[in-house]
Amino acid sequence: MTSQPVTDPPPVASPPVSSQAPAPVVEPALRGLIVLGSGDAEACSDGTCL
Amino acid sequence: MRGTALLVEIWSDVVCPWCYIGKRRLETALNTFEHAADVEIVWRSFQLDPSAPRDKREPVYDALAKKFGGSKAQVKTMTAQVGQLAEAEGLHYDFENAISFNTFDAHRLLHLAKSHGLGAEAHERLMRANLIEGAAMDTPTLVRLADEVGVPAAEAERVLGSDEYTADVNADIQQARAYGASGVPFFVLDRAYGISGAQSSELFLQALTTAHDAQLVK
Repeated sequence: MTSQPVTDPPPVASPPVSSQAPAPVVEPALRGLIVLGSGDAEACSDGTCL
Repeated sequence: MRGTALLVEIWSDVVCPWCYIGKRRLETALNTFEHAADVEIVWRSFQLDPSAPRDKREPVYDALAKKFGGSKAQVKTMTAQVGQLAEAEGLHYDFENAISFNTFDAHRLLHLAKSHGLGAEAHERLMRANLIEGAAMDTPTLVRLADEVGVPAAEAERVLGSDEYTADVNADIQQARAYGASGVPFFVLDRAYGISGAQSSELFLQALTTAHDAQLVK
């Protein structure tokens, strides 16, 4: 009896990007909140307000 | 008849020019918001520069010139835009005399004022003192400002000489971090809707309406 060569299993295909979950409504930058308004608001951060 | 209270929490620092502008824009929105009587505003502490030395005060222009390595003239040019937008909100900023300082003690004082039901008044007074009046913002000044809005001067002096309200200030800052806020002003409506920055009064009015309408379907 001859042995069969060992072969790697076929790769499992990744789901296409389009089938993944839609982007969450909650902005990741503000955890747990629904973000209202534009992201380029006028604000101070890190001691800078310019 | 008053409905369910709509909670508006505002994270702000008293040295923050955009926070004062954002406050004015929110107030403009509230002037036309049908349910303004139901809105409860709570001011929360945030420090733009917690690393600033507690015992040092210096002119804003000098502090910014050091930070950016530029000249005072360059810094004046950089601050011109925010000054112009403040003017549009009726705020006449005096950056020439504004002071850069560690605001932690000011925030402890604001929490004392809040315990007297004077949080909003104190926040307005301290921002005005620093950004418009060019006040020194040292301990005697903070005591005077607290007294002006109705906080007993002796109580303000005692709190500023202690570490009272440290946990309250830190809790506010921690909550802002938990939300992921990296700057101020930062507004949270009914702990559900977040608004970053000094957005337009129209946006604030829309947000208030959205939060109010959401209460109706709960």
